[in-house]
Amino acid sequence: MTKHNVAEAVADTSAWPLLPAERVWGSWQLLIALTTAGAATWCYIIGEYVGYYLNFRQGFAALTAGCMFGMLITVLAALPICCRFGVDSIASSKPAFGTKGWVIPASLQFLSILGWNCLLLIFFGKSTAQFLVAVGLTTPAHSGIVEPCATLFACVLVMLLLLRGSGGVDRVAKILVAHVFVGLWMLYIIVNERWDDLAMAKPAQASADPVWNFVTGLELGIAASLSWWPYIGAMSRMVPNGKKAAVPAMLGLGGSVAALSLIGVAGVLVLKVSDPSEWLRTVGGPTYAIISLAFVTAANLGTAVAGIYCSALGLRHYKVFEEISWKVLLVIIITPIAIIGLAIPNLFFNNFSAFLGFIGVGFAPLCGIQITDYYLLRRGKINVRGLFDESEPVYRYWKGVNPAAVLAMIAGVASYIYVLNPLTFASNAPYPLIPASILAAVVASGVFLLVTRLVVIPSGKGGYPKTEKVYQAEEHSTPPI
Amino acid sequence: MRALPLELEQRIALLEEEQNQGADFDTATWFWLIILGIIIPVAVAVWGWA
Repeated sequence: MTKHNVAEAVADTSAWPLLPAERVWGSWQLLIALTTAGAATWCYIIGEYVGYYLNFRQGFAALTAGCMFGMLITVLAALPICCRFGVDSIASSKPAFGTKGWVIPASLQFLSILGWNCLLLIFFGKSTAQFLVAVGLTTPAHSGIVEPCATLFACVLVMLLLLRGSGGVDRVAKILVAHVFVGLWMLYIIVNERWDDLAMAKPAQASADPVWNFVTGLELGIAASLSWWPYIGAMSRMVPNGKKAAVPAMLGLGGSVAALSLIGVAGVLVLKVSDPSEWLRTVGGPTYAIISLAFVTAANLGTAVAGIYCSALGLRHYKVFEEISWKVLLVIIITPIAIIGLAIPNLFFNNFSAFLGFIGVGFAPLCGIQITDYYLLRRGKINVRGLFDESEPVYRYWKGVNPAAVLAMIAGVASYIYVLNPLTFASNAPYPLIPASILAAVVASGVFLLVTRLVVIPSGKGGYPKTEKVYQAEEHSTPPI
Repeated sequence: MRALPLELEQRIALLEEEQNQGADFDTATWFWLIILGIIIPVAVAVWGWA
Protein backbone atom coordinates (compact mmCIF):
# COMPACT_ATOMS: atom_id res chain seq x y z
CA MET A 1 0.00 0.00 0.00
CA THR A 2 1.43 3.44 -0.91
CA LYS A 3 1.70 6.24 1.63
CA HIS A 4 -1.20 8.01 -0.08
CA ASN A 5 -3.39 4.89 0.07
CA VAL A 6 -2.58 4.41 3.74
CA ALA A 7 -3.63 8.01 4.44
CA GLU A 8 -6.87 7.46 2.51
CA ALA A 9 -7.62 4.30 4.45
CA VAL A 10 -6.93 6.08 7.74
CA ALA A 11 -9.27 8.93 6.78
CA ASP A 12 -11.98 6.51 5.68
CA THR A 13 -12.04 4.83 9.08
CA SER A 14 -11.57 7.99 11.13
CA ALA A 15 -13.66 11.09 11.71
CA TRP A 16 -11.07 13.25 9.94
CA PRO A 17 -12.31 15.32 7.03
CA LEU A 18 -11.95 13.71 3.63
CA LEU A 19 -10.01 15.47 0.89
CA PRO A 20 -11.56 15.98 -2.56
CA ALA A 21 -9.49 13.14 -4.05
CA GLU A 22 -10.81 10.71 -1.42
CA ARG A 23 -14.45 11.52 -2.00
CA VAL A 24 -14.89 9.13 -4.86
CA TRP A 25 -18.55 8.10 -4.68
CA GLY A 26 -20.88 9.35 -7.39
CA SER A 27 -24.59 10.16 -7.01
CA TRP A 28 -25.63 6.66 -8.05
CA GLN A 29 -23.29 5.02 -5.58
CA LEU A 30 -24.69 7.17 -2.77
CA LEU A 31 -28.26 6.51 -3.90
CA ILE A 32 -27.65 2.75 -3.81
CA ALA A 33 -25.91 2.88 -0.43
CA LEU A 34 -28.64 5.01 1.15
CA THR A 35 -31.46 2.98 -0.39
CA THR A 36 -29.94 -0.21 1.00
CA ALA A 37 -29.46 1.44 4.39
CA GLY A 38 -33.04 2.67 4.46
CA ALA A 39 -34.78 -0.54 3.49
CA ALA A 40 -35.10 -2.69 6.61
CA THR A 41 -37.58 -4.23 9.00
CA TRP A 42 -38.40 -0.83 10.47
CA CYS A 43 -40.22 0.03 7.23
CA TYR A 44 -42.91 -2.53 8.11
CA ILE A 45 -43.09 -1.22 11.66
CA ILE A 46 -43.57 2.36 10.42
CA GLY A 47 -46.15 1.11 7.90
CA GLU A 48 -47.91 -0.91 10.58
CA TYR A 49 -48.39 2.14 12.80
CA VAL A 50 -49.65 4.21 9.86
CA GLY A 51 -52.05 1.39 8.94
CA TYR A 52 -53.58 1.55 12.42
CA TYR A 53 -54.86 5.06 11.71
CA LEU A 54 -55.22 5.49 7.93
CA ASN A 55 -56.58 3.59 4.96
CA PHE A 56 -54.24 2.63 2.11
CA ARG A 57 -54.69 5.76 -0.01
CA GLN A 58 -54.31 8.12 2.93
CA GLY A 59 -51.47 6.02 4.31
CA PHE A 60 -49.64 6.29 0.99
CA ALA A 61 -50.15 10.06 0.91
CA ALA A 62 -49.20 10.68 4.54
CA LEU A 63 -46.13 8.45 4.41
CA THR A 64 -44.85 9.88 1.13
CA ALA A 65 -45.42 13.46 2.21
CA GLY A 66 -44.04 12.88 5.70
CA CYS A 67 -40.94 10.96 4.63
CA MET A 68 -40.02 13.42 1.87
CA PHE A 69 -40.61 16.52 4.00
CA GLY A 70 -38.74 15.00 6.95
CA MET A 71 -35.88 14.14 4.65
CA LEU A 72 -35.73 17.72 3.38
CA ILE A 73 -35.25 18.93 6.97
CA THR A 74 -32.52 16.34 7.60
CA VAL A 75 -30.76 17.18 4.34
CA LEU A 76 -30.82 20.91 5.08
CA ALA A 77 -29.54 20.32 8.62
CA ALA A 78 -26.58 18.02 8.07
CA LEU A 79 -25.63 17.90 4.39
CA PRO A 80 -24.17 21.37 3.78
CA ILE A 81 -21.35 21.03 6.33
CA CYS A 82 -20.83 17.28 5.76
CA CYS A 83 -20.47 17.68 2.00
CA ARG A 84 -18.40 20.82 2.15
CA PHE A 85 -15.68 19.38 4.36
CA GLY A 86 -16.15 15.62 3.97
CA VAL A 87 -17.13 15.14 7.61
CA ASP A 88 -19.79 13.09 9.40
CA SER A 89 -22.96 14.36 11.09
CA ILE A 90 -21.34 14.66 14.53
CA ALA A 91 -18.67 17.02 13.19
CA SER A 92 -21.41 19.03 11.47
CA SER A 93 -23.06 19.63 14.84
CA LYS A 94 -19.95 21.13 16.48
CA PRO A 95 -20.48 24.74 15.32
CA ALA A 96 -23.90 24.82 17.00
CA PHE A 97 -23.18 22.67 20.08
CA GLY A 98 -19.53 23.52 20.79
CA THR A 99 -16.25 21.63 21.07
CA LYS A 100 -17.61 19.60 24.00
CA GLY A 101 -21.36 20.07 23.55
CA TRP A 102 -21.30 17.78 20.51
CA VAL A 103 -21.55 14.87 22.93
CA ILE A 104 -25.30 15.57 23.04
CA PRO A 105 -25.93 14.71 19.36
CA ALA A 106 -23.20 12.04 19.59
CA SER A 107 -24.97 10.30 22.48
CA LEU A 108 -28.24 10.56 20.60
CA GLN A 109 -26.61 9.04 17.52
CA PHE A 110 -24.81 6.28 19.40
CA LEU A 111 -27.80 5.14 21.43
CA SER A 112 -30.13 5.37 18.45
CA ILE A 113 -27.92 3.47 16.00
CA LEU A 114 -26.80 0.90 18.53
CA GLY A 115 -30.34 0.31 19.75
CA TRP A 116 -31.82 0.03 16.29
CA ASN A 117 -29.03 -2.23 15.09
CA CYS A 118 -29.56 -4.52 18.06
CA LEU A 119 -33.18 -4.80 16.95
CA LEU A 120 -32.20 -5.34 13.30
CA LEU A 121 -29.67 -8.06 14.06
CA ILE A 122 -32.08 -9.81 16.42
CA PHE A 123 -34.63 -9.61 13.58
CA PHE A 124 -31.93 -11.02 11.31
CA GLY A 125 -31.55 -13.99 13.66
CA LYS A 126 -35.29 -14.56 13.81
CA SER A 127 -35.85 -14.33 10.05
CA THR A 128 -32.84 -16.57 9.34
CA ALA A 129 -34.31 -19.20 11.66
CA GLN A 130 -37.71 -18.87 9.95
CA PHE A 131 -36.02 -19.10 6.55
CA LEU A 132 -34.16 -22.27 7.50
CA VAL A 133 -37.37 -23.79 8.84
CA ALA A 134 -39.22 -22.80 5.64
CA VAL A 135 -36.62 -24.44 3.36
CA GLY A 136 -36.55 -27.54 5.58
CA LEU A 137 -32.99 -27.20 6.89
CA THR A 138 -34.09 -27.08 10.51
CA THR A 139 -37.20 -27.51 12.62
CA PRO A 140 -39.12 -24.95 14.69
CA ALA A 141 -37.97 -26.82 17.80
CA HIS A 142 -34.39 -25.77 17.05
CA SER A 143 -35.21 -22.09 16.50
CA GLY A 144 -34.10 -21.30 20.03
CA ILE A 145 -30.55 -22.34 19.07
CA VAL A 146 -30.57 -21.13 15.47
CA GLU A 147 -31.70 -17.56 16.27
CA PRO A 148 -28.80 -16.57 18.58
CA CYS A 149 -26.33 -18.39 16.31
CA ALA A 150 -27.63 -16.43 13.30
CA THR A 151 -27.41 -13.15 15.25
CA LEU A 152 -23.82 -13.96 16.19
CA PHE A 153 -23.07 -14.88 12.58
CA ALA A 154 -24.52 -11.53 11.45
CA CYS A 155 -22.33 -9.67 13.96
CA VAL A 156 -19.20 -11.41 12.67
CA LEU A 157 -20.24 -10.84 9.06
CA VAL A 158 -20.87 -7.12 9.66
CA MET A 159 -17.46 -6.83 11.29
CA LEU A 160 -15.72 -8.60 8.40
CA LEU A 161 -17.54 -6.48 5.83
CA LEU A 162 -16.57 -3.27 7.60
CA LEU A 163 -12.88 -4.05 7.99
CA ARG A 164 -12.22 -1.90 4.94
CA GLY A 165 -14.41 0.97 6.02
CA SER A 166 -16.80 2.63 3.60
CA GLY A 167 -15.65 0.21 0.86
CA GLY A 168 -17.50 -2.53 2.76
CA VAL A 169 -20.68 -0.43 2.91
CA ASP A 170 -20.42 0.20 -0.84
CA ARG A 171 -19.85 -3.46 -1.73
CA VAL A 172 -22.72 -4.71 0.44
CA ALA A 173 -25.06 -2.01 -0.89
CA LYS A 174 -24.35 -2.93 -4.52
CA ILE A 175 -25.37 -6.53 -3.84
CA LEU A 176 -28.21 -5.99 -1.39
CA VAL A 177 -29.91 -3.16 -3.28
CA ALA A 178 -31.68 -5.94 -5.20
CA HIS A 179 -33.81 -6.57 -2.13
CA VAL A 180 -35.49 -3.20 -2.62
CA PHE A 181 -36.94 -4.50 -5.88
CA VAL A 182 -38.08 -7.64 -4.07
CA GLY A 183 -39.82 -5.31 -1.63
CA LEU A 184 -41.58 -3.48 -4.45
CA TRP A 185 -42.57 -6.86 -5.91
CA MET A 186 -44.10 -7.82 -2.55
CA LEU A 187 -46.05 -4.58 -2.56
CA TYR A 188 -47.25 -5.34 -6.08
CA ILE A 189 -48.35 -8.83 -4.99
CA ILE A 190 -50.56 -7.62 -2.17
CA VAL A 191 -51.97 -4.67 -4.13
CA ASN A 192 -52.65 -6.88 -7.14
CA GLU A 193 -54.05 -9.90 -5.31
CA ARG A 194 -56.01 -8.13 -2.62
CA TRP A 195 -56.89 -4.75 -4.14
CA ASP A 196 -60.59 -5.01 -3.28
CA ASP A 197 -59.84 -5.87 0.35
CA LEU A 198 -57.23 -3.13 0.48
CA ALA A 199 -59.54 -0.49 -0.96
CA MET A 200 -62.29 -1.41 1.53
CA ALA A 201 -60.04 -1.94 4.57
CA LYS A 202 -60.67 0.27 7.58
CA PRO A 203 -57.83 1.17 9.95
CA ALA A 204 -58.24 -0.65 13.25
CA GLN A 205 -57.35 2.13 15.69
CA ALA A 206 -58.46 5.22 13.78
CA SER A 207 -59.48 8.11 16.00
CA ALA A 208 -62.82 9.88 15.51
CA ASP A 209 -60.86 12.91 14.34
CA PRO A 210 -59.74 12.42 10.71
CA VAL A 211 -57.25 15.31 10.99
CA TRP A 212 -55.57 13.59 13.94
CA ASN A 213 -55.30 10.35 11.96
CA PHE A 214 -53.79 12.00 8.90
CA VAL A 215 -51.37 14.20 10.81
CA THR A 216 -50.25 11.18 12.86
CA GLY A 217 -49.47 9.38 9.59
CA LEU A 218 -47.52 12.45 8.45
CA GLU A 219 -45.73 12.64 11.80
CA LEU A 220 -44.64 9.00 11.60
CA GLY A 221 -43.11 9.66 8.18
CA ILE A 222 -41.40 12.87 9.30
CA ALA A 223 -40.01 11.33 12.50
CA ALA A 224 -38.73 8.29 10.59
CA SER A 225 -36.87 10.51 8.12
CA LEU A 226 -35.39 12.74 10.82
CA SER A 227 -33.83 9.72 12.46
CA TRP A 228 -31.62 9.34 9.36
CA TRP A 229 -29.56 12.26 10.62
CA PRO A 230 -26.69 10.04 11.84
CA TYR A 231 -26.49 8.12 8.55
CA ILE A 232 -26.63 11.01 6.17
CA GLY A 233 -23.32 12.61 7.11
CA ALA A 234 -21.20 9.48 7.30
CA MET A 235 -22.43 8.31 3.90
CA SER A 236 -22.66 11.65 2.08
CA ARG A 237 -19.14 12.70 2.98
CA MET A 238 -18.01 10.15 0.39
CA VAL A 239 -19.40 12.27 -2.48
CA PRO A 240 -17.48 15.37 -3.54
CA ASN A 241 -20.16 18.03 -3.00
CA GLY A 242 -23.67 18.85 -1.89
CA LYS A 243 -25.02 18.91 -5.44
CA LYS A 244 -24.29 15.21 -5.85
CA ALA A 245 -25.62 14.23 -2.43
CA ALA A 246 -28.93 16.07 -2.00
CA VAL A 247 -31.19 14.28 -4.49
CA PRO A 248 -29.82 10.77 -3.74
CA ALA A 249 -30.41 11.43 -0.05
CA MET A 250 -34.00 12.54 -0.68
CA LEU A 251 -34.79 9.57 -2.90
CA GLY A 252 -32.62 6.92 -1.25
CA LEU A 253 -33.79 7.46 2.31
CA GLY A 254 -37.06 9.41 1.95
CA GLY A 255 -38.45 7.78 -1.19
CA SER A 256 -37.45 4.17 -0.54
CA VAL A 257 -38.59 4.15 3.08
CA ALA A 258 -41.95 5.66 2.08
CA ALA A 259 -42.40 3.05 -0.68
CA LEU A 260 -41.35 0.05 1.41
CA SER A 261 -43.37 1.17 4.42
CA LEU A 262 -46.46 0.70 2.25
CA ILE A 263 -45.81 -3.05 2.52
CA GLY A 264 -46.51 -2.71 6.23
CA VAL A 265 -49.57 -0.49 5.67
CA ALA A 266 -51.07 -2.95 3.18
CA GLY A 267 -50.24 -5.97 5.33
CA VAL A 268 -51.78 -4.61 8.51
CA LEU A 269 -54.88 -3.33 6.71
CA VAL A 270 -55.67 -6.52 4.81
CA LEU A 271 -54.15 -9.33 6.87
CA LYS A 272 -53.70 -7.63 10.24
CA VAL A 273 -49.98 -8.34 10.20
CA SER A 274 -47.26 -6.06 8.84
CA ASP A 275 -44.39 -8.53 8.47
CA PRO A 276 -44.40 -9.62 4.79
CA SER A 277 -42.77 -12.96 5.59
CA GLU A 278 -45.97 -13.82 7.48
CA TRP A 279 -48.59 -12.43 5.10
CA LEU A 280 -46.88 -13.56 1.88
CA ARG A 281 -47.38 -17.16 3.01
CA THR A 282 -51.12 -16.44 3.13
CA VAL A 283 -51.20 -14.55 -0.16
CA GLY A 284 -48.77 -16.53 -2.28
CA GLY A 285 -47.90 -19.77 -0.47
CA PRO A 286 -44.60 -21.06 0.99
CA THR A 287 -42.39 -20.10 -2.01
CA TYR A 288 -43.34 -16.45 -1.65
CA ALA A 289 -42.73 -16.70 2.08
CA ILE A 290 -39.22 -18.05 1.48
CA ILE A 291 -38.41 -15.22 -0.96
CA SER A 292 -39.76 -12.72 1.53
CA LEU A 293 -37.72 -14.15 4.39
CA ALA A 294 -34.56 -13.95 2.28
CA PHE A 295 -35.49 -10.32 1.56
CA VAL A 296 -36.04 -9.43 5.21
CA THR A 297 -32.79 -11.10 6.22
CA ALA A 298 -30.74 -9.34 3.54
CA ALA A 299 -32.40 -6.00 4.21
CA ASN A 300 -31.49 -6.00 7.89
CA LEU A 301 -27.90 -6.96 7.19
CA GLY A 302 -27.40 -4.10 4.70
CA THR A 303 -28.79 -1.56 7.14
CA ALA A 304 -26.74 -2.89 10.03
CA VAL A 305 -23.51 -2.59 8.00
CA ALA A 306 -24.25 1.08 7.24
CA GLY A 307 -25.41 1.79 10.80
CA ILE A 308 -22.38 0.31 12.51
CA TYR A 309 -20.05 2.17 10.12
CA CYS A 310 -21.76 5.46 11.01
CA SER A 311 -21.63 4.62 14.69
CA ALA A 312 -17.91 3.80 14.52
CA LEU A 313 -17.15 7.11 12.79
CA GLY A 314 -19.16 8.94 15.46
CA LEU A 315 -17.16 7.30 18.25
CA ARG A 316 -13.92 8.46 16.64
CA HIS A 317 -14.69 11.99 17.85
CA TYR A 318 -14.09 10.87 21.44
CA LYS A 319 -10.44 11.19 22.46
CA VAL A 320 -10.43 7.69 23.92
CA PHE A 321 -11.47 6.11 20.60
CA GLU A 322 -9.47 8.44 18.36
CA GLU A 323 -6.34 6.36 17.99
CA ILE A 324 -7.37 2.77 18.64
CA SER A 325 -7.37 0.45 15.63
CA TRP A 326 -10.44 0.24 13.40
CA LYS A 327 -10.80 -3.48 14.17
CA VAL A 328 -10.85 -2.88 17.92
CA LEU A 329 -13.37 -0.07 17.47
CA LEU A 330 -15.66 -2.38 15.49
CA VAL A 331 -15.34 -5.02 18.20
CA ILE A 332 -16.24 -2.42 20.84
CA ILE A 333 -19.42 -1.53 18.96
CA ILE A 334 -20.44 -5.00 17.88
CA THR A 335 -19.78 -6.79 21.19
CA PRO A 336 -22.72 -5.23 23.11
CA ILE A 337 -24.99 -5.98 20.14
CA ALA A 338 -23.84 -9.60 20.14
CA ILE A 339 -24.26 -9.91 23.92
CA ILE A 340 -27.79 -8.48 23.78
CA GLY A 341 -28.67 -10.64 20.76
CA LEU A 342 -27.42 -13.78 22.50
CA ALA A 343 -28.36 -13.20 26.11
CA ILE A 344 -31.47 -11.01 26.33
CA PRO A 345 -33.05 -10.64 22.88
CA ASN A 346 -36.63 -10.82 24.14
CA LEU A 347 -36.06 -8.61 27.16
CA PHE A 348 -34.45 -6.04 24.84
CA PHE A 349 -37.32 -6.30 22.36
CA ASN A 350 -39.94 -5.74 25.01
CA ASN A 351 -38.33 -2.83 26.83
CA PHE A 352 -35.75 -1.02 24.75
CA SER A 353 -38.11 -0.04 21.96
CA ALA A 354 -39.79 2.37 24.42
CA PHE A 355 -36.43 3.99 25.08
CA LEU A 356 -35.76 4.25 21.35
CA GLY A 357 -39.09 6.02 20.95
CA PHE A 358 -37.88 8.74 23.31
CA ILE A 359 -34.40 8.90 21.77
CA GLY A 360 -36.01 9.50 18.35
CA VAL A 361 -37.69 12.71 19.46
CA GLY A 362 -34.28 14.38 19.83
CA PHE A 363 -33.56 14.53 16.11
CA ALA A 364 -36.24 17.11 15.28
CA PRO A 365 -34.84 19.81 17.62
CA LEU A 366 -31.32 18.90 16.57
CA CYS A 367 -32.16 19.52 12.90
CA GLY A 368 -33.99 22.75 13.76
CA ILE A 369 -30.94 24.04 15.64
CA GLN A 370 -28.53 23.15 12.83
CA ILE A 371 -30.64 24.77 10.12
CA THR A 372 -31.00 27.98 12.13
CA ASP A 373 -27.31 28.03 12.99
CA TYR A 374 -26.02 27.40 9.47
CA TYR A 375 -28.44 29.41 7.34
CA LEU A 376 -29.73 32.20 9.58
CA LEU A 377 -26.90 32.90 11.98
CA ARG A 378 -23.69 31.90 10.22
CA ARG A 379 -24.85 32.47 6.65
CA GLY A 380 -22.93 29.37 5.61
CA LYS A 381 -19.58 30.45 7.11
CA ILE A 382 -17.90 27.55 8.93
CA ASN A 383 -14.40 27.36 10.38
CA VAL A 384 -13.18 23.85 9.53
CA ARG A 385 -10.31 24.08 12.01
CA GLY A 386 -12.82 24.70 14.79
CA LEU A 387 -14.47 21.33 14.05
CA PHE A 388 -11.33 19.40 15.02
CA ASP A 389 -8.88 21.63 16.87
CA GLU A 390 -9.85 22.28 20.48
CA SER A 391 -7.20 24.98 20.76
CA GLU A 392 -9.16 26.97 18.18
CA PRO A 393 -11.51 29.14 20.28
CA VAL A 394 -14.18 29.70 17.64
CA TYR A 395 -16.65 27.00 18.79
CA ARG A 396 -15.52 26.79 22.42
CA TYR A 397 -18.38 28.90 23.81
CA TRP A 398 -18.43 28.36 27.62
CA LYS A 399 -16.17 25.41 28.56
CA GLY A 400 -16.90 23.87 25.17
CA VAL A 401 -20.68 23.95 25.46
CA ASN A 402 -23.14 26.30 23.77
CA PRO A 403 -25.96 26.95 26.26
CA ALA A 404 -28.21 28.11 23.42
CA ALA A 405 -28.09 24.63 21.85
CA VAL A 406 -28.62 22.86 25.18
CA LEU A 407 -31.62 25.02 26.07
CA ALA A 408 -33.03 24.65 22.55
CA MET A 409 -32.70 20.85 22.72
CA ILE A 410 -34.48 20.76 26.09
CA ALA A 411 -37.27 23.04 24.81
CA GLY A 412 -37.65 21.05 21.57
CA VAL A 413 -37.79 17.63 23.24
CA ALA A 414 -40.15 18.88 25.97
CA SER A 415 -42.50 20.44 23.43
CA TYR A 416 -42.54 17.21 21.39
CA ILE A 417 -43.33 15.01 24.38
CA TYR A 418 -45.96 17.49 25.57
CA VAL A 419 -47.87 17.56 22.28
CA LEU A 420 -47.43 13.87 21.37
CA ASN A 421 -46.31 11.12 23.70
CA PRO A 422 -44.18 8.92 21.39
CA LEU A 423 -45.22 5.74 23.22
CA THR A 424 -48.91 6.14 23.92
CA PHE A 425 -49.70 8.65 21.14
CA ALA A 426 -51.68 10.69 23.68
CA SER A 427 -51.73 14.23 22.31
CA ASN A 428 -52.29 17.84 23.36
CA ALA A 429 -52.92 21.05 21.41
CA PRO A 430 -51.58 22.37 19.07
CA TYR A 431 -51.33 18.78 17.79
CA PRO A 432 -52.76 17.76 15.29
CA LEU A 433 -52.75 21.24 13.76
CA ILE A 434 -48.99 20.96 13.49
CA PRO A 435 -46.97 17.69 13.45
CA ALA A 436 -45.02 17.18 16.69
CA SER A 437 -41.63 16.96 14.93
CA ILE A 438 -42.19 20.24 13.11
CA LEU A 439 -43.30 21.93 16.32
CA ALA A 440 -40.24 20.58 18.17
CA ALA A 441 -37.93 21.79 15.39
CA VAL A 442 -39.57 25.23 15.31
CA VAL A 443 -39.50 25.62 19.12
CA ALA A 444 -35.84 24.56 19.24
CA SER A 445 -34.98 26.94 16.38
CA GLY A 446 -36.75 29.82 18.13
CA VAL A 447 -35.06 29.22 21.48
CA PHE A 448 -31.66 28.80 19.79
CA LEU A 449 -32.09 31.97 17.77
CA LEU A 450 -33.22 33.98 20.77
CA VAL A 451 -30.50 32.85 23.18
CA THR A 452 -27.82 33.18 20.50
CA ARG A 453 -28.88 36.73 19.60
CA LEU A 454 -29.37 37.86 23.20
CA VAL A 455 -26.50 36.09 24.96
CA VAL A 456 -24.02 34.26 22.73
CA ILE A 457 -23.33 36.86 20.03
CA PRO A 458 -23.09 39.83 22.45
CA SER A 459 -20.58 37.77 24.46
CA GLY A 460 -18.44 37.39 21.35
CA LYS A 461 -18.70 33.57 21.44
CA GLY A 462 -19.31 31.07 18.67
CA GLY A 463 -17.56 32.83 15.80
CA TYR A 464 -20.80 34.34 14.49
CA PRO A 465 -20.62 37.19 11.99
CA LYS A 466 -20.88 40.29 14.14
CA THR A 467 -23.97 42.43 13.93
CA GLU A 468 -23.79 46.22 13.73
CA LYS A 469 -24.93 46.51 17.37
CA VAL A 470 -22.06 44.35 18.61
CA TYR A 471 -19.55 46.37 16.57
CA GLN A 472 -20.89 49.60 18.07
CA ALA A 473 -20.77 48.18 21.60
CA GLU A 474 -17.18 47.01 21.07
CA GLU A 475 -16.14 50.40 19.68
CA HIS A 476 -17.55 52.17 22.76
CA SER A 477 -15.86 49.77 25.15
CA THR A 478 -12.41 49.99 23.49
CA PRO A 479 -10.13 51.97 25.80
CA PRO A 480 -8.39 54.94 24.14
CA ILE A 481 -4.69 54.44 23.42
CA MET B 1 -3.78 21.41 24.85
CA ARG B 2 -2.63 18.52 22.63
CA ALA B 3 -1.26 19.25 19.16
CA LEU B 4 -3.24 17.81 16.24
CA PRO B 5 -1.83 14.77 14.44
CA LEU B 6 0.25 15.91 11.47
CA GLU B 7 -2.03 14.18 8.94
CA LEU B 8 -5.12 15.89 10.37
CA GLU B 9 -3.30 19.24 10.49
CA GLN B 10 -2.45 18.90 6.79
CA ARG B 11 -6.03 17.99 5.92
CA ILE B 12 -7.42 21.00 7.76
CA ALA B 13 -4.88 23.29 6.13
CA LEU B 14 -5.94 22.03 2.71
CA LEU B 15 -9.64 22.32 3.48
CA GLU B 16 -9.24 25.87 4.70
CA GLU B 17 -8.65 26.79 1.08
CA GLU B 18 -12.02 27.26 -0.57
CA GLN B 19 -11.11 25.42 -3.78
CA ASN B 20 -10.64 22.19 -1.75
CA GLN B 21 -14.10 22.38 -0.20
CA GLY B 22 -17.10 20.63 -1.68
CA ALA B 23 -19.50 23.00 -3.42
CA ASP B 24 -22.72 23.90 -1.64
CA PHE B 25 -26.15 23.32 -3.22
CA ASP B 26 -26.50 25.07 -6.58
CA THR B 27 -29.71 26.43 -8.12
CA ALA B 28 -30.59 23.12 -9.76
CA THR B 29 -30.16 21.29 -6.44
CA TRP B 30 -32.37 23.80 -4.63
CA PHE B 31 -34.93 23.34 -7.40
CA TRP B 32 -34.96 19.55 -6.85
CA LEU B 33 -35.01 19.93 -3.08
CA ILE B 34 -38.08 22.17 -3.33
CA ILE B 35 -39.77 19.79 -5.78
CA LEU B 36 -39.00 16.63 -3.78
CA GLY B 37 -39.24 18.09 -0.31
CA ILE B 38 -42.10 20.59 -0.59
CA ILE B 39 -44.10 20.51 -3.86
CA ILE B 40 -44.53 16.72 -4.07
CA PRO B 41 -45.28 16.26 -0.33
CA VAL B 42 -47.86 19.08 -0.39
CA ALA B 43 -49.47 17.77 -3.59
CA VAL B 44 -49.59 14.17 -2.33
CA ALA B 45 -50.89 15.24 1.09
CA VAL B 46 -53.67 17.32 -0.51
CA TRP B 47 -54.57 14.40 -2.81
CA GLY B 48 -54.60 11.94 0.11
CA TRP B 49 -56.66 14.21 2.30
CA ALA B 50 -59.23 15.06 -0.39
